[in-house]
Amino acid sequence: MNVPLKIVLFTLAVTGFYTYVGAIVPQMEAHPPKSTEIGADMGPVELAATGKEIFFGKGTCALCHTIGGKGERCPDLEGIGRRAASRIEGVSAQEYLAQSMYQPNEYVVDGYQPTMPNISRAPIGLTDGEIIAVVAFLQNEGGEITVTPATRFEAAGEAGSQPVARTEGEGPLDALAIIKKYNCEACHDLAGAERRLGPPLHDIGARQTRAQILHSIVEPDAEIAAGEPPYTPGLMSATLMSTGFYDTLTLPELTALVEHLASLEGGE
Amino acid sequence: MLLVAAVLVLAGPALAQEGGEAYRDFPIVGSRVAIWVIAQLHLLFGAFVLAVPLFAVTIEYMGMRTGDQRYDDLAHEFTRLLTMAFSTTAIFGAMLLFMLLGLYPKFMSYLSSIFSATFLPYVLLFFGETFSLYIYYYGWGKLSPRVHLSIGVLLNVIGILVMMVANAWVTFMTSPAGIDDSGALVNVWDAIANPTWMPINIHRVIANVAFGGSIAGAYAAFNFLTAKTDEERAHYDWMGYIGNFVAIVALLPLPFAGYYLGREIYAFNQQMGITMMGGVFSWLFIVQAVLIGALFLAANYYLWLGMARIEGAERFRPAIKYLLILLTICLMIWATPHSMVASLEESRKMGGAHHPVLGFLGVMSAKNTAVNLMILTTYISFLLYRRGNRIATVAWARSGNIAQVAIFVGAAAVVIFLGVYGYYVEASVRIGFSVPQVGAVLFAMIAVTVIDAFLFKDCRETGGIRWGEISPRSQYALLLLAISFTWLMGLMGYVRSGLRQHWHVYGVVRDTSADAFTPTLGYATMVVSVTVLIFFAFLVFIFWLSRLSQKQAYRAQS
Repeated sequence: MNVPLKIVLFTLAVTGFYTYVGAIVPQMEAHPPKSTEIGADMGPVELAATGKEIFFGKGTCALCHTIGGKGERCPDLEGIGRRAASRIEGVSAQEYLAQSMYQPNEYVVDGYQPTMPNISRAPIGLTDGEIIAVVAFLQNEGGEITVTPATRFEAAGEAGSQPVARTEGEGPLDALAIIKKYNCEACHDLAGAERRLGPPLHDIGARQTRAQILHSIVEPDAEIAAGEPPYTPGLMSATLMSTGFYDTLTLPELTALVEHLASLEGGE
Repeated sequence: MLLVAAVLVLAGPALAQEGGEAYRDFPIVGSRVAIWVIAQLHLLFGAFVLAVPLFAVTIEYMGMRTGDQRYDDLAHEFTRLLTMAFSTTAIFGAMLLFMLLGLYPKFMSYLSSIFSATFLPYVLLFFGETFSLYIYYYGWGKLSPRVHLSIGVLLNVIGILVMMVANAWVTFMTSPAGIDDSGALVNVWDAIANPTWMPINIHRVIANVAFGGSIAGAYAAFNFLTAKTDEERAHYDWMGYIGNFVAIVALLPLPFAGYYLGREIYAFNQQMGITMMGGVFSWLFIVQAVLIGALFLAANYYLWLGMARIEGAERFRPAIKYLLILLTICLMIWATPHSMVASLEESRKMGGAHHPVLGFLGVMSAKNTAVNLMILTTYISFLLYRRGNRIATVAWARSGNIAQVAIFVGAAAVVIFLGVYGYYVEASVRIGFSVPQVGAVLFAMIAVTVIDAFLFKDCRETGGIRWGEISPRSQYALLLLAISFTWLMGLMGYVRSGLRQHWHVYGVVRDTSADAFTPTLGYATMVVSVTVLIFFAFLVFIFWLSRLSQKQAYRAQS
């Protein structure tokens, strides 16, 4: 057999082998999720069943959450209907569950990273009705279904599908309002020495100059605070960017924030 | 050709905005497959024309430093392949642009609204690349060596910039940035420097070098196998060795660059990361393992066969079987799926989708360990090849060897220990083990190379290298490398695009066409295979043209 023909046959054989390998593994075709109509007359059982479909389908919740598993990436949701009412003091189970979908970084379960997106926005883009159904499904996990198709969540109204942005004409916020708005205390303890996702800042004014504090806010990844285990690089910048911090904070607000942090020197 | 490209790029936004249709059909295969094939062909040729200057300039520089004319001739021969491939790349690029404008007008209109500021610089860079390439090729032996080398460096710099601009468009589709909630442009630099831009830039430069080296190796193999004289065989044997060397050197750090890209994808959007590794595409990485395993085996096999033509290398032959055993075991671990394809009855017997024994090998801890050990093994093969006909004469030769062995053992121990320990810790901790594993391997390779350089300075040679006296099987190993690299690039192109799922621009511009679904892996591999075969058909034509240009004039022949 002449050499060029051998080379052609060899090329075809190798390519054919790889095609064969690609054909013998499990074949999955992923189609875009379809929106679900939530009828006004849906009862709790039907609503929870629809929510279950959305949870495992369009919502892609099961990519990260388990129900009756280890909850390695994100919290396991077995029995969440029972726990939800006691997560945040004064917040009902249905509001807590809604908040965890519309404003997922408002409250992050201990030991987990704030990685969950606002699922009312693209690319997941659940409708308000679909979120009601998912809440019903989650309440059904050990709790009582209290939502109906007519439920309107406070969380949806506050942040919902809108970006974090100030209203036109609103004056500069003071430091405490900024800390509350961007939920700084979810990651930093400002009152004590507790280690959270980020280092405690109760004595930051005694440890750093104003310039250093400003630098840490503007470029949080430039220098990562020492800690054991180490703090996660990129977490703060990613979190702040996702909340619109850098897009909406004004210079007077930034100055007020730095001044406030500089005043924290670890005293009572 | 350049003018056509320039006019198209500049007129693109205007053309794209005309008409109200979002999609148009392409006959028989459909729009998606048509774009897929043309884009992949453009990328493959683009990768080749970006990679060859990188190592042509390096080889030319080596020729300048050593005064060995063979290096200069080799660099010139590589560059001859380049000129024809460059035109082919531009043709496919123009075809891609025409087809995108025609078949996806609304999407192109949106993309133009974001990146119009980059179009003119792109065209100017393209001009710069073309001019520097032709000056580099036609100025061979006519310009002063230093000026010529500087033109080569300029060619590389511009080439990489061209790639980086195009990468910005593509990566924006995966990880959009610099836009507001409505998708309107806020900051064009943020759109360019989106989260996956730099990881892709780095990954592509390294992968292009590996791919270019393998294609140059295939060219040498083709010529070796069809050579008529011993002199030709010796030349193409040497060229094949250089091509394989370049491919291996670039292949070794490639998994690390891939890891960086994967990490950035996770950081940008965890769901996208999970979809990639644990969702629809999870089985793709089993196919990838088969391909990369074939690459490692072929590269090692070539080196082992090559040692037969080195006088004195026979003393290392007994080590080869152990290296082969280690590589095979690692490959089998890497290709072990986490969940098995099994019948209902088999699943019941296993107690689930995970095999009671093999299931343990299908997880990240085992796979990371396997790939790091494969890299170390390949590096050892290369080291033995390099030492084939050399004996160290420095006074500290024994301690130097012991230090090298200790470094290898230490690195392997770190990799294995963290691999095993990974089974006993939480996922969040386990993921972090990849970094020290990679670090240990990188450290070992760098440290051993540095020691080796001093160890074999002024060494004694036991004999020469009998270029041309290598088994023809080695040349098929080179061909296997080239085919596998090409196929792998096609496969990874599928997953990179597929990650967006039903979005043209993830989370911003939804795909509402009939093709807005992720096809099966079997379907994708068919498309990849057809593309690879078309690519090689074109490549053979280019090789033929290159040989034709070396033939004597027809009149002189007769």
